[in-house]
Amino acid sequence: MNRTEKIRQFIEDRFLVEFGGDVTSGSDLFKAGVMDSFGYIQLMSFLEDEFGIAISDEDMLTSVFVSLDAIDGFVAGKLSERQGDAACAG
Amino acid sequence: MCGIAGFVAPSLQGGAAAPETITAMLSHIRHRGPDEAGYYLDDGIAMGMVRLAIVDLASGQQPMPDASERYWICFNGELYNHLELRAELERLGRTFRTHSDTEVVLQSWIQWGPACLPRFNGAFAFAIRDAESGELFLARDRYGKRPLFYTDRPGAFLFASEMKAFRAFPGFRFELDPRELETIYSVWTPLPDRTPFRGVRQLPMGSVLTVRGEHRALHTYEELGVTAEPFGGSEDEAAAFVRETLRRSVELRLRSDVEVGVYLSGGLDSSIVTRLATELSPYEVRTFSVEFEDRTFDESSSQQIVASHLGTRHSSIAVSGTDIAEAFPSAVYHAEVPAFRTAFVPMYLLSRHVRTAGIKTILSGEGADEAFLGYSLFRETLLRASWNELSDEERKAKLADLHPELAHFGPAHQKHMAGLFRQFSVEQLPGLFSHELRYQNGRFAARLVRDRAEPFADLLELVRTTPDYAALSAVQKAQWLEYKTLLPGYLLSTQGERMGLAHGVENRCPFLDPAVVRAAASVNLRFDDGFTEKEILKKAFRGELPEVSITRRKQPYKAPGSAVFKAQRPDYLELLLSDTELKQLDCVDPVFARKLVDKVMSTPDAEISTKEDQAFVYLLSTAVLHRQFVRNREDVMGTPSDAELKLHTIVDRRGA
Repeated sequence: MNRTEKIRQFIEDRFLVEFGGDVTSGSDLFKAGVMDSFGYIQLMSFLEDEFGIAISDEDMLTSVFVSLDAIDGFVAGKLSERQGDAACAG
Repeated sequence: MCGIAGFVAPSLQGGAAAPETITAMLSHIRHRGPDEAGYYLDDGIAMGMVRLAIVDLASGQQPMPDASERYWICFNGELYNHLELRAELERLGRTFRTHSDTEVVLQSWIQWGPACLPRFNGAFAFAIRDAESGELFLARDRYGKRPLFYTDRPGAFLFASEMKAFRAFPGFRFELDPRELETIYSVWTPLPDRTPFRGVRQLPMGSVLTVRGEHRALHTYEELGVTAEPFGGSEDEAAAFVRETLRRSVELRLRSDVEVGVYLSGGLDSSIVTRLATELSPYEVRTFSVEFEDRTFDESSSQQIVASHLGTRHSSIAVSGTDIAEAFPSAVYHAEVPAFRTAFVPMYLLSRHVRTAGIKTILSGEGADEAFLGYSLFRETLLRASWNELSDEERKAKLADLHPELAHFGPAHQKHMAGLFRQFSVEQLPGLFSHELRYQNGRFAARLVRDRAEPFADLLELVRTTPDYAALSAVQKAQWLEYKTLLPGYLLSTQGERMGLAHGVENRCPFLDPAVVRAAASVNLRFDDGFTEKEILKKAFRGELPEVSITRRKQPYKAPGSAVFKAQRPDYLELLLSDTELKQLDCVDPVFARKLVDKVMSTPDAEISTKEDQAFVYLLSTAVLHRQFVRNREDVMGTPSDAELKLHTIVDRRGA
């Protein structure tokens, strides 16, 4: 399962939703009644644990984690940042 | 306390249809008034009441006319300032034939017309018939403590204290209204004038409806007030002022011809009420509580400390998961509205216990959190409203203090929570800023409805058209919303009045006296920043209550939810487990409902989130209501009331 699929599956299981119908990868998950505060916190923890990324205070202030695309894009950015760091270090 | 019902239906004029119909309507609500019943008939109109005799036991029978027999009243409730109003009316030359508060209401109406309504301090809903003009007036108290429902169909206008009375009217059928269900699921309650059923309305709090032929006029006689002139004195004087206002309120509510008890939760508000009742009641005060077998929900140790400190005669009932599962259909039948929690079920069992103990009237602490900013919702609103002016450290400190009991507000998640709060620091739903986080969670349950619209559209319209609403502060708007939704739509009704009256027990709320609400508004946020819960109220009673009542953080009253049904597997759970049954609920989205039910049934309790638990309880209560009211199946209506309909007063003016 790739990154996008993992995130999609977590959201589908946790929030009882299926992407593709009323809810698409671009939908605002808050407005669609999919995400709530408790679920949001769970999602953030999941992203950190699953992908080994750290979401900083600054990330929380500058990124808007409202749609699957936005969340996936954020994680992709974080991962490539890390790879970039690793490459430099190497 | 009592129940009323009636209709204006020119087609039911002569013969036996009208008396039979009104008798059957009253029979459906006879649990509200087991002491006696009566009705009045005139051409095309019937109205009646079932009575729980509390004031003037001997001569307060209803329907009650004035001496000229032009005006007739069916009154449900209590008027706490009836002695003062009676004296004033006597000075104006009006004479009285009874000692009842009902006659004071009738004479006030004759003297002042609808202008009498803002003078009333009470919990009431009533119908007055003017036989000369042919008009019918329906009115309800300013906080919506007593219920009044109506439905206006071609050729028939029906009204009643509980909707179930309409079942007796020829041709009437209940139908769930998906639009209202969507509001209930997302807002937690119906809006002030709504119900879950199509075409059935509530008379909103603080309003009066005139029915004359085909003409209807709904008028608000008093807007809800959440503002007041700031208190001018010192903090000590403010605390003394609050105490004295509450003392007076309890004193007024102890005016009755029967013994009064107190519901003691163990928290600050009910402890204050208990304290004042022990100071003022001529009887030994009896306190009543619910204990839970599940220790997560149990507050019995605080209850015992307060009862023993104040020297009350205390009794409690222990409620188990089995009890909740068994009584759920009966409690839902009395509530008549889908519920997001099961906490009303223990209150149904408690009122039965109170009634068995021989008590008809109880005092409770409802309304304190709304008036004195007790809910964490108010602190959350203050925090989000000031979010963009605070430093990171201030934000973190205040976040940490908001819900110390919830793990997801703990240190491990603080930065995530800060990110979430930032998203909710700017208003998105005009006028609903304070409730946006809660309503966000409500959108989840709203997904239960198959054909969805914007779930907050009607609430947005209500606040948009409310005079002076826009000028309120964020916290005052939060109070306004609580006073208009959760308080009347769940706490006072589903968890309060309806559960009490299921067993003929009436409740009285000293914190919901207009003078107390005004006093609170004048002192709130004057001497503190609002982040210490109910600080001024604690100051007012410090030294009189055990320390635990003052220092303990507010504990929301809750009972175990979906876990109970999963463990007990009651028969009616089949309404959700069977696809055939679930399909009967044609306004529910079967795909989402199935996912939700499967998840709840297959996941360990600890992993079920609050929003999933709430959505499950909503769905189950909706399915039970559907079977009871729409499919009219007696098998899930629970235990029938053992109250009898004791018809004493029958007045038939037809053809006169």
